[in-house]
Amino acid sequence: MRLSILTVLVLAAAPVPAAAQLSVRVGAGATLGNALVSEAIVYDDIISLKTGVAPTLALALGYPVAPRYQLLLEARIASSGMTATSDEGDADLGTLRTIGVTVMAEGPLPYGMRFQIGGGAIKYSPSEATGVFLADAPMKPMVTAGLGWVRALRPGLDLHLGGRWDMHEFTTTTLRQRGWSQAQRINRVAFTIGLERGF
Amino acid sequence: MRRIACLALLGLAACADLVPPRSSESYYEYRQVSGLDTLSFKWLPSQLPVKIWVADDSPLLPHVVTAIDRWERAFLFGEFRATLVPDSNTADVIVRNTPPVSLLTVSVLSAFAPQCTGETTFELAQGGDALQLPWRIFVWPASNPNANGIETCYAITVTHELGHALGIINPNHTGAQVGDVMYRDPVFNGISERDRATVERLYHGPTTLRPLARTPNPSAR
Repeated sequence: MRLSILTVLVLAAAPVPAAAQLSVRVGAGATLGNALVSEAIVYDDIISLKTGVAPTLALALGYPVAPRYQLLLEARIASSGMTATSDEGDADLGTLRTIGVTVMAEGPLPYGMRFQIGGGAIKYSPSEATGVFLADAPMKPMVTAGLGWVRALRPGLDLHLGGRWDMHEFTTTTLRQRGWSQAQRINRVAFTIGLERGF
Repeated sequence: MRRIACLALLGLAACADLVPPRSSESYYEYRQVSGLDTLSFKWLPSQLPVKIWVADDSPLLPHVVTAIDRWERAFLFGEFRATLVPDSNTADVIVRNTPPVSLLTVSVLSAFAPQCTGETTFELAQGGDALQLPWRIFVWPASNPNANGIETCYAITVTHELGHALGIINPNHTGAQVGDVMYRDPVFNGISERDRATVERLYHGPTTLRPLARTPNPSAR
């Protein structure tokens, strides 16, 4: 009970955003990235580990920090199949999900465009803890940048089209344990369409 | 300033790749030299998962599950995957808790441990360039099926015999050492680094035998 009262007091004392300060953006789209392992020569074989086009869901909270500028806290989930290709053929390795959390600055550009730039982390979540993900499913820092286009649908509700690039470096504990060095630089692009609601 | 920012972005986006380790020399012989021929076998991605049958009431069942898991974990890119099937008639590999009945036309790969014995047999198809499925694995007690340590013996021997069915078909186990599960008289209960390097070498090199699908026999079980 004492804890509940304390919680209420803390919440009451916290700065409450003024009207129309916060915004929520939800979107859906697709993400495509380069291979996790790209044409590595293993004995007499050439191996790649690829992901397909990944359906993507995005949820972002915006908080204004200056006129026409806001901070975005965004979470994205993308999920696609994972395939190992070699000289002998392709092996289906189940599903690979990525969860990205980023903090970005968003500002205005001409023609209703917006830019975003920021960074965060990406967490890998394979459907099976095997192969390169045998020992762990890594979480890696990433940088990101994007462009958005906004059109008002009605007061307080906007249509948002977005394109995004992000980059991180991929390796796993299992790969390192088995003598693989350096890391694969992963560049991904994503396109989303969604709605933004101001409060 | 703008130029520096562009260069920085290009640098970030530039390619950087994982570098595989140097080819390991720490592997043993997996091929079978037969006269002037060198025989080697591996499962191809199109044949996965390998279908394995073992009787539901067989004491080998949990050890087959363990052996599949061990060998699957040896690989980085899903080179070998296997699943249990309920009908031996559709299996690529048949595992039995009995001694083999007849060994007249097949190649035999054996393992001897104190409490149990294992053999794996395969048959070459006519022409000698294909392996007639199924593989047959036999693991049976040396004397007493309830002997002390029989479960450990089963675990080691089933892993060893499944290693043969993966393609480690050198009949003399040449080069395998006491710390490897593919040693002739295996005592190591697991997969060693040399075992792992050997199957990696096998699955990323050329082989001479292709698997020949079996002709279904409705009466077999």
